[in-house]
Amino acid sequence: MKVEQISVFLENKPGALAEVTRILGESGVNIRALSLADTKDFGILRLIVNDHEKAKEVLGRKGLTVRKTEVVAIEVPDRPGGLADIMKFLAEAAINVEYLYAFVQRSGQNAIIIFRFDETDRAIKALVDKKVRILQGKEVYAL
Amino acid sequence: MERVSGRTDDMLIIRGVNVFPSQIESVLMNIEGVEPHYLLIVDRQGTLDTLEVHVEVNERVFSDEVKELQALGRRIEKDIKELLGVNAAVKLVEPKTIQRSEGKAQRVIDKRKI
Repeated sequence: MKVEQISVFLENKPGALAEVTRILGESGVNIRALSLADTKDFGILRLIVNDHEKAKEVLGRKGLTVRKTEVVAIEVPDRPGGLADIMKFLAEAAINVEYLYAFVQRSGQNAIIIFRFDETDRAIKALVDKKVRILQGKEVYAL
Repeated sequence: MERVSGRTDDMLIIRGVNVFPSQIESVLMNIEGVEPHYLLIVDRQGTLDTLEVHVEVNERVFSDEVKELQALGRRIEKDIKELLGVNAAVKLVEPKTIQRSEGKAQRVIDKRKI
C-alpha cells in the first residue's frame, strides 16, 4: 500500500538538477513522477522511480544526501471534483496532508496523485475503509 | 578571567564579540546527527559584520520535509546566539562540500578588508 519515494537534498545552484538527472539517466533509472520543493538556499527533490534501490545507491555513491520516504499513490477520478471529494473526506477524518504531486502516468481513466501524510498508516486505513483505490508500490514503479 | 576557548590567533571579532571557531564546532556537536564540519564566512555589509555558517546535511539529519530542515537551521542559529552572543545565518549545504584536511582545516573565510 505504500510507495517508496526518493528524496534528494540539493543546494539551490545551477547544475544541481542537471547532475541528479544525469546520474539517474546514466544508471538506467527511469523517473515516473517528481516534484521539487524550494527554499532560498536549498531544495528537496522528490522522485518516484522504477528502481528506488538503485537510485539511492547511485546518487549516494556520488556524494548526494538521499533518503527514502513512504508515500501513498491514490487513484483519483479524472473529472472536476474528483480530488475535492478525496480532500473533503481526508479533512473530515482529520488526516493531514504534508505535500502532494500528480503522477505522470494514468491508471485507466483515473489520475494518480502521490500523497505524503503525517500519519501514513491511519490515512491508508481510512482510505481503504472508504473504498478509495490505492496503488501498490510495484504497480506504480512499473507504470 | 573568562574561560579561554581556543588560541587567540583563531579568534574572530564579530560585531565586537569574540568568537572562536571551535565554539561553533561545539554547538554543532551538541545537536544529534549533525557532523561538526562547518565553514564560517564573515563579511561586512555597510557597517555591520555578518556571520554565515555553512553546515552539511548528511543522511542522519536530512528530513524529507522542508519545515524540519528549516527548524534545524533555526535551532543552530539559536544555539549559536545563546552560546556566543552573535547572530549567525545558517546555510545548509550538501555533504563533502566543506573541505576536510589533516590538521588545520580551513574553517573561516573572512571577507572583511581590515
